[in-house]
Amino acid sequence: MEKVRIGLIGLGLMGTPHARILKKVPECDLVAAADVDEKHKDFTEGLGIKFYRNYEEMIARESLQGVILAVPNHLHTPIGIVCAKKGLHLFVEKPIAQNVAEADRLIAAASENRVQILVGHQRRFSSLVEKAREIVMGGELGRLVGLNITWALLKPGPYYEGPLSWRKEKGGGPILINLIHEIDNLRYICGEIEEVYALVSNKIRNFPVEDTAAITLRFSNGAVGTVFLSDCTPSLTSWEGTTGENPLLFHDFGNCYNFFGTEGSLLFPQMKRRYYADPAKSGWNYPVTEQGYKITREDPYIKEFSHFARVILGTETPRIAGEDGKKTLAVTLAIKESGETGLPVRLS
Amino acid sequence: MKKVRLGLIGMGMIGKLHAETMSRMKDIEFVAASDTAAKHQQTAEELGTKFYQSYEEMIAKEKMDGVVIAVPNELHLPVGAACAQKGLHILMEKPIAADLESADRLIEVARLNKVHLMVGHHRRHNPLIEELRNIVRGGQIGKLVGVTVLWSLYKPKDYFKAPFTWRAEPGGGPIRINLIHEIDNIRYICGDITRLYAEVSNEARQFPVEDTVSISLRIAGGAVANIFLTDTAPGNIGYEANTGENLFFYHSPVDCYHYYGTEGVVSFPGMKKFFYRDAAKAGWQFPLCEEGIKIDKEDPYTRQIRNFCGVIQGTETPKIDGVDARKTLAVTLAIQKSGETGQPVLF
Repeated sequence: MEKVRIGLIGLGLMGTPHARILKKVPECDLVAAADVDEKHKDFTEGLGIKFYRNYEEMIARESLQGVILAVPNHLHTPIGIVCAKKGLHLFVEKPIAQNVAEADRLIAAASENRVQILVGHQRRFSSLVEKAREIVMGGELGRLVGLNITWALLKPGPYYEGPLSWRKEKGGGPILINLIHEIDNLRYICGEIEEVYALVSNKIRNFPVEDTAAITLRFSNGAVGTVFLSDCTPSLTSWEGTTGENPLLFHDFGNCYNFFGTEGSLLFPQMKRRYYADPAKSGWNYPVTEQGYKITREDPYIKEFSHFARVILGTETPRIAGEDGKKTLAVTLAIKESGETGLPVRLS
Repeated sequence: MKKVRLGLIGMGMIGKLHAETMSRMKDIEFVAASDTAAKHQQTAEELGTKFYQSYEEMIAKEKMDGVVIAVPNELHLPVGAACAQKGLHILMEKPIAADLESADRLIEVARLNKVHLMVGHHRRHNPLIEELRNIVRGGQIGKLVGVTVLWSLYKPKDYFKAPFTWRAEPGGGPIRINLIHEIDNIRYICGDITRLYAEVSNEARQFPVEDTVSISLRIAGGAVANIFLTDTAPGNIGYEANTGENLFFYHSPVDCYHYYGTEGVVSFPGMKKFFYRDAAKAGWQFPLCEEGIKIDKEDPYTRQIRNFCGVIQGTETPKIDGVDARKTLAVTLAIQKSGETGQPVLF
């Protein structure tokens, strides 16, 4: 198998696990990694990867085909542009950039230099999400009328303390950090979002950043939806608390999403479709039939990096390219804006 | 104590339920029932009560303390006013009236005639709802963070057929008929609603009336809530289907509400409380404890009539009076308005 030569930039919370996972991806050869902090040298060399403190030196010296950007959000665009100019394909951790204008600059630079952008919304590679998309988009629920999402959990006290106290400030909270994943899932499974409204609250933790939000969405296909988001309540009704895709977090086997169509509804991630088997016995006075789906679970990160390798080789197009990642960011920022203005926001 | 003497006006779907309830209660006198349709005479006689085609004749001839009124919404005001003027206490089916102005006039006429006006939001009499209210208001889940409500019940095609074609027209849909119950529950359990926004859609059925609604609410005290409601998706998720309170609806024992607090979460009607036992091990990486809440079930319609009798005898206050029910109607109508204007509504 032809391996693609990859460099990793940033060895923080996301970069470190990425380095470990990349070693397991048969299509990828993780050649080198860079971080401004020298402390990551031992870890990196322990994995048999060259370490650089200066990413520009890394991309100048190593013969790479693509890079993975796992640096703070505000550096996605400047570092991404430098790499694009070197002809390197870009895997950019989510969010694509810190705002829509910077996303546009990054997308333009990639296009000018003929490199691809893949945005790191790894949930699109979850077998559960792939199946939900197939069910909803494939019409198994009939016409989608709406959906409801709950992301309710308790971030422990230390999450907001010490070196991580930036998370208490605006922009560090559940809308930009966590909700963006839910939004990307929804866009991938259901289609484009055209209007948002949010009631946002910080009354529980009393931090500058929000802790809870009740959101209303309208989709281009006419469906409507609600998203309840809170990081300060003892609950497992969340992606993390039900799917088991984050091994560091506890999970049970409940549901966090409900999709409703004219012919059936889908409970996710239990993956149960509820429908009336007999059209003559359809209605609130009849029992629903429940059908399960067999799903083979695979590590979404491994699938995602394998996909990146094939994007670099030109055999696949990015499952989430720059423009697509920008739309997810735009919807998420619109929700934040609606919370601040108290008014609905229409997306262009 | 002397038995309370009650009459019934209107013997449609819900009126009949009241008739059956009252006929079963030994401690009241179910004096008479009326309906403009003569076909209900047989039902009345089977239930052992007198029948009138004219409610005016009934309230003129019979000596009664109070009446249960279950007539079409636009008749709530005229029928209610006539009864109030006769000095009869009133249990009015929900909604209190067809619009806010009629509600105000009905409240006023009851006040002037010194009769109690109670409104038939029967869910307030369900022990499950009472317990949920006690849990939330009693601080058992800490400070309330938010609420989610799901209501996805598929109305069969017959539901919209003659003589019920009005159900496909504006005003006959799930906001006015079904959502009003959800609003009243939230208000009863948590408190007043201060701000709301709704996305309203009729795209699935393509009827003039809505079929699907997504709502964001803010509740006094700071909590927020989401309600998702549709009457066009097979799901059997919703109060009627999940509580088993009315077995016309197929009983599907899943949860339709979650009340999220800082110290605990309650699911309804499963009535399970979730919490972290050890404060040092509280957070998303730790397992969560689950505890059942014991509740003795009791028929809310019977309890509602009993509350009405207690109100008449002066030993109880109404679970929901006219002023309170008017607020529930006002919020419900505001959801419709928000859907039409595309703007939030503030209270």
